[in-house]
Amino acid sequence: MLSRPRWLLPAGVAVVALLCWSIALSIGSVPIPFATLWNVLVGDETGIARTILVDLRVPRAAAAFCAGALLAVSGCLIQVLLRNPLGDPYVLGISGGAAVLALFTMALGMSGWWLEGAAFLGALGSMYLVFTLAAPQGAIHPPRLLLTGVIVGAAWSAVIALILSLAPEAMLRGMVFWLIGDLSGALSAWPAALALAAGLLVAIFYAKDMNILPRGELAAAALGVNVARVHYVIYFLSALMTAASVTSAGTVGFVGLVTPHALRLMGVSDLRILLPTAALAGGTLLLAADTVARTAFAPQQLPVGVITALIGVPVFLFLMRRR
Amino acid sequence: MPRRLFLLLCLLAPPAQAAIEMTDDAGNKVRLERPAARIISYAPHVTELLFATGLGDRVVGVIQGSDHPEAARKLPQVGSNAAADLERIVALQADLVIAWLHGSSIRQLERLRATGVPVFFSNPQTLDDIARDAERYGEMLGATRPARGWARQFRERQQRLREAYSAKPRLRVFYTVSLRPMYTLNRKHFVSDLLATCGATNVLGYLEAVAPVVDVEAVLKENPDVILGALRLEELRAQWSRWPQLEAVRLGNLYSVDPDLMHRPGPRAMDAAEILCRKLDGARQRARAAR
Repeated sequence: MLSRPRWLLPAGVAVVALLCWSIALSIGSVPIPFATLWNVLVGDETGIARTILVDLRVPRAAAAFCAGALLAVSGCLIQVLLRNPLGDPYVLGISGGAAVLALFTMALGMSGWWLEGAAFLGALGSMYLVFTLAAPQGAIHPPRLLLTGVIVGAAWSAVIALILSLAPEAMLRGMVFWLIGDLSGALSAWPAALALAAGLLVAIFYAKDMNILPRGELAAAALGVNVARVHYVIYFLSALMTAASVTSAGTVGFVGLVTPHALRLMGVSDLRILLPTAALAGGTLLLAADTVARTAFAPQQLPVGVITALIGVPVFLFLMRRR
Repeated sequence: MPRRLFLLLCLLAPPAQAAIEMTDDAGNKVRLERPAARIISYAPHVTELLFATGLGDRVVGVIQGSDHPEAARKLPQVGSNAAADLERIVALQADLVIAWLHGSSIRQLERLRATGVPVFFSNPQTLDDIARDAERYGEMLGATRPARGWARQFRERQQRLREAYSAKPRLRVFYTVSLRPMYTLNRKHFVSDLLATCGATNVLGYLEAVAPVVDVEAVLKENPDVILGALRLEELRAQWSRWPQLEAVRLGNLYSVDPDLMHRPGPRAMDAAEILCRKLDGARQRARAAR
């Protein structure tokens, strides 16, 4: 490929993101035409269009965007840490821990902040468990970390299956929706937005060091990188970002695996560019998927996780063939 | 030789009593050689209907959750909607299993049918279907007269409700089953028939799925006169009081209904209808007073 300006791809993603935002805010059971979108948003009318826009669509779009962005950044980080193309925010069992506690609180009949708090707590617990099992001496050895994460994740899956088979019938649907990923119940986008901003800043701060990691730990150390510390940063950062995403959107699949790969296939490899671009692209992917999920059969709603895979798989295969 | 074969066949032939044949709600022909005497009721609504029509003493086993009437609680449980305990059903020497068409244990019950135990699927979608179910059970159990009598009374109760409420101003109702995810029931679900009996329309009844998940926007767009929820009233208020521009919220027409009564297509469904009609009539009066 000819050398293009480095800003071209991020700029392109930003344009697509803007387009997706406009579409997401404009369509739904009550259509709000493109042209009037801005007026409704900033104007002082108090009609039903404004209520729908301000109280329903903007918060939901923001929640979708932040959750997707968190997953994509977390996916980039995990792939760097594990040096494994199958790295995905969920591979280390964090989502499983979140799911177990989330389903458990659902089974107890609790919802709202209780549910989100439980999911976050579950993710943190799982993060801690995997870390202590994988790095008893405190140093992270990536292959061992991966294996531990997969095994702990398998244990969580078994507990999830157990909860699903014992739970009262009336609750199953809510549980399954949560597991596939669903944004209809997202309470507020602010926690996810803050986590995204903070996480992205820290990640970009360490991006230069992370760029060197793929050359091997010895080479990186020789180049003056504190490998152990960078490993810590990546692990806890990606875990916390995954936890924040899962807390608001449930375990939406695919975004975290595919967004980093897609961007790499399009020629971005410098993490200082890749990380912010991935945030933009992942957020846009989940926003687009959620828009489809709530409008394709409107007013009937689909869980967003189904759509991320349905949109993501063909796009990804197309990119891979083109290379 | 052919003659002896004929005599042999005569000996093997069933006794003079005629076999009973009945088509169930899955479209299967269910054949009973004699009236059923040992019945497994594999749905709470079936248990209730058998007891209501005076045939409760023939029930030898029930599905988990058959909590009404009191006598049904003491019967052996033979499984849940997720899985049936086939060995138990066979051990109870059941000669008829009556099940709901929607349980995920249908595959297991099909196996039971293959072993020779007749399985009858019931799926009442209207109040009248419940009366028809009572009549069909009556025939299969050889007790047609009491069953028909019960069904007649049941239909008369519905007729009285229709006469009282169908001419009144029609109410537009949104029905919520749960909030997370928020789903409703369509026209094919028998809740829609309860609403229709009380002179109300299910605003999202046109959707194709029986229990579709919907969003708040759809409700804002339909702007119903009444919102019913199979939830606690506080939950319903917490969800909808954020939307004061909704007609139902403005009029204070949020009502909680009892899911056990509303969602079980059994004999108590008519009690549910009577309660519902009174609630909706209250809603109607509020609407009139506001005008």
